[in-house]
Amino acid sequence: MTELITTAQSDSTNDGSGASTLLLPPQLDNAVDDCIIIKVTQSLNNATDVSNINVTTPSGYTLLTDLRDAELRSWVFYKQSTGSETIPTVTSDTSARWTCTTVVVTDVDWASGGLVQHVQNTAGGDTQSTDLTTDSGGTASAIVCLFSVERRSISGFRYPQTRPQTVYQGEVSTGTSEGVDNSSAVGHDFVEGRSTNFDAPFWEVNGGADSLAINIEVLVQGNIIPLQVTTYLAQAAPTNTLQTSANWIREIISSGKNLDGTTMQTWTFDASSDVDTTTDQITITGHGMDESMVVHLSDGGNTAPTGLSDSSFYYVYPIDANTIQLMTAKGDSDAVGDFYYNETTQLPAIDITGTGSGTITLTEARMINAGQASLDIFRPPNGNTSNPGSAPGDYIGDSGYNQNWLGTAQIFSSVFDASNETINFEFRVNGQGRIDRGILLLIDEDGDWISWNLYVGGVSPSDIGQTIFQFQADKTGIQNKAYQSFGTFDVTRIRYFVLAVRGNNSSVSRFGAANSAGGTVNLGGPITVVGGQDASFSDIVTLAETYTDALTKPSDLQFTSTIPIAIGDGTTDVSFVDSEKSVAFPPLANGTTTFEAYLETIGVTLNATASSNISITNTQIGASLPYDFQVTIASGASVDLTGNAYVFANGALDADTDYDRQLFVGGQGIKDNNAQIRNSTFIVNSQLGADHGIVDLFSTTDIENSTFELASGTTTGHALKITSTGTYTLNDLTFNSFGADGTTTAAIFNDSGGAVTLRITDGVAPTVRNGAGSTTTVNVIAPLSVTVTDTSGTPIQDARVYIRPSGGGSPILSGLTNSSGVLTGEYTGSTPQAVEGWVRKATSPGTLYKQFAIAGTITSSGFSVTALMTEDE
Amino acid sequence: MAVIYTATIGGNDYGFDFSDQRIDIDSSLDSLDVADLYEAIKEAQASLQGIPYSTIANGEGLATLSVGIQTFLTVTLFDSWEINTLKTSGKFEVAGGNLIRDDGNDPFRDNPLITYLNFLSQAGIVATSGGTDIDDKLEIINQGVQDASIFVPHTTDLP
Repeated sequence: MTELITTAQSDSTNDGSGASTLLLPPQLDNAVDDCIIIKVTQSLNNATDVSNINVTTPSGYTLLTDLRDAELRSWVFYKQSTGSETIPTVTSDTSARWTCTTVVVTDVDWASGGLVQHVQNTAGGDTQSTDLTTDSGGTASAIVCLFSVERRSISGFRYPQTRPQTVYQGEVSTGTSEGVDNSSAVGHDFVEGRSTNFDAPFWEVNGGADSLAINIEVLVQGNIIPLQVTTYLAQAAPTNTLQTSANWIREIISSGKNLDGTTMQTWTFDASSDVDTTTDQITITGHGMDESMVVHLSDGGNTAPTGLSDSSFYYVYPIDANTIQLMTAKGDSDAVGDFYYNETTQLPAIDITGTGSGTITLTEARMINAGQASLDIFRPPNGNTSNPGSAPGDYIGDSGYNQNWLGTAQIFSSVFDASNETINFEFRVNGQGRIDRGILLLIDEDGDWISWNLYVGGVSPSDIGQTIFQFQADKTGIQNKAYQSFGTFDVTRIRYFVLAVRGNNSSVSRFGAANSAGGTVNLGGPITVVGGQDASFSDIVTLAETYTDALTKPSDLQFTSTIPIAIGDGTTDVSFVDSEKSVAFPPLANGTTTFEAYLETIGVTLNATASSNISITNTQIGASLPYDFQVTIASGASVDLTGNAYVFANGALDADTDYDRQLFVGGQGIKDNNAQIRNSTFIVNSQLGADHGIVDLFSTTDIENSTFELASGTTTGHALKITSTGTYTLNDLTFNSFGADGTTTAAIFNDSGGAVTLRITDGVAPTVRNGAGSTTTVNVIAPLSVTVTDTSGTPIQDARVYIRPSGGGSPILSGLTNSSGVLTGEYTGSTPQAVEGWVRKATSPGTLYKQFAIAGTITSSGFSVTALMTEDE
Repeated sequence: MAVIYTATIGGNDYGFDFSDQRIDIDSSLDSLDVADLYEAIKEAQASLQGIPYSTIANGEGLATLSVGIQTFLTVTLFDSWEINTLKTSGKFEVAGGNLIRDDGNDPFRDNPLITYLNFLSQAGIVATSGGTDIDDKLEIINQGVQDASIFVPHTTDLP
């Protein structure tokens, strides 16, 4: 396979040179008329020194740009290769740490201009690089995206982005010392549109620093189309906005169940007698409240003490075991400033200026609306080791966030039906050892809710990085993975989308980020690849690294994924060729460390256009649980799936290709969709479930020369299930280890409710279970064949053949031979069966023959005889 | 019992009752040509109606002695097959060959109104057109008669 763009990077630290005047771009293979692009970068802790650096343009190269930020400077050179050129060393007059990038673009359209333009800009860390408008000439463009940053690491492109086709190719770094080190990264894209806006990538780094970005357009001839991603982000979710009030918290309070699954405690006090308006204290004997926990006040129709409001939130400040003060909380008004203590200042106590009347209820809430921005949880100031209160509360730090869940909520403008949708969002939790748990919380229109883990302290990495989370919230299997839930959550009527974290009460220092760089809720799909030139699974993994760590390549023969993979999208051609590989979908979500993929419908989808070429042969695709293997092929596409094994696949095949030597192990069934399947094996295991067949048999089903097996220990499940009455022919199908007639593991399950006749050719009678009202007749077909020739071997047409059981009886075979002198038929009776008969030919015109007598035995394999006829008088 | 297959040979019908093992001969025929009969038999026993049944008869002969000259055809009826003319009176004779029953019994269905004439020949010869002139054919025939006769004629001339 030829790559349109190849890249390589180097840095002075890994090269061992440290600060140096010799900058060593990595070597890359190149051929005549390729475009070689070299970028070299140096960093110094002084803007003037940086501005004084002089770098010598290598012989034969053209300086494309010399771009600098305060402590960082990059030079880009390029040339038209004369073939197999050595990438030159670049000389600087200043010794400094450096990073280099080499890019080779092939298939360049030099006649139309070759390298036609570049755009560039500088920033202070995260960098939105500059868009460009593709050239009006040529056929297509390779876009080379270069980026450098001083002292920071480069995370990649921000995701989601407007153009998921852009491929991130990784970074190199000399280190993280300010003014000394620098990092560089490279990406690329392929754009066929002319005079089209290219949405440049948003580079993401792990902090503020000097940075620069350069995007270069090279015209290419379009002969080489790289593999690209299309639909990892399918579409935006229905309109949703940051919820600035604490109404989502009120929904949880109404449920009476804490987000950690415990029952919410409640306390009551008499508004007239338990309130001290002088000290602003409330007496609740033996309250047991934790300092800084948030409570919700309800007056129950009575009159709250003056200063306290119905349906409001307060922090608790325990004075002693029987007395508390309520401190200001800003749940409905200021999520950013809503924290208990900021190291020097505690939120003020509520000034209670008068008593009320009746019983007032406080409910344990332990939630704060801390939505700094969309999918962004406010990061509180540091706490304090000394408990500000005098009560034995266990507040330590994080400004009171340890006792409460901090949530950022999106409210959907109209209820969101998540049926058959994959909810995608990007989120990062940098716990720094101070976050106990992070969750996704969905609340429906009725206040029922469900939550899943996103981060678990002690399990997840301290910093999971920007991670794409995917949820199929409508799937039962995914709901079963929930962390907590309340009521009957209705996935068709979602009102709130909440991300929440809770501190672990172990440090006074604040935790790191709990936010999303993308900041939007999306609906996703599989990682779908198109284009390519005989692309491979390895290429998909490389491509996916731009977006997610969910795809890995443990070895050259193995690939794993916790998200669905789609090869082709049915619209754009794809060229994919791979063989002798293992593709595995390991356990999802719970049981892993990053909890990023809550997907039940996972697997491989092939969606080939008429001009696509997909060849995946002798490859095993497996999972720990049933997964989907769906094939959609336009007529005319070239698709070869010979010799593959599918472990636990729920298959949906397409008849526009044939399936030879397939092995289907387990799973919840194969929809053959009239596809021709030969020489294959289907193994039924317990995943199939009761009353199902691994294949539903229809009159158009085209499976022959294949074997069905029942896995050991399987107590329910069938090979074939029939739902319509009629006659079905099973040709050379073998059924191994299935249960006896009438059992839940019989080979055939006739659930048609009527009469079914099975014609078994070249095989033995399978066992049958009849559903209600169903009857099944099994006829094992023995093929009969009589060939009639004259003594010289010439076929005789219209010879009349008659075969009957020996000694008489109804004819078994009777008729005239065809032009090949052959008459065939079938025998459905028991075998062996002795037969007798004769062949006569006395129909004019033509030669007449004496009778040829037939005698023999029909076995389970059938009966075949050749009649040699002699002429009659 | 009924005729279930009728063969028409030379414009004459031959009806076959396979159960009764009877061949009904067209009433217009006074003389049954053995060759035509055998044609009808072969057609009947290879017919859709006749194929389930055993063969009716065997035919032997018609060996070519010379161009245009063949030995007599001898049709041997099997089992209880019989010839039954549909004539209601008069003479009914067999010509052009021998007609016999495999078991030696009379090949004709009893009919008191009909006189059956069945001339058997050990050395019957069938002459067809072509090959030689009539004198040559007669000489060949005569030689055949002599060869098959238990008597030695005094002359080779034709009687």
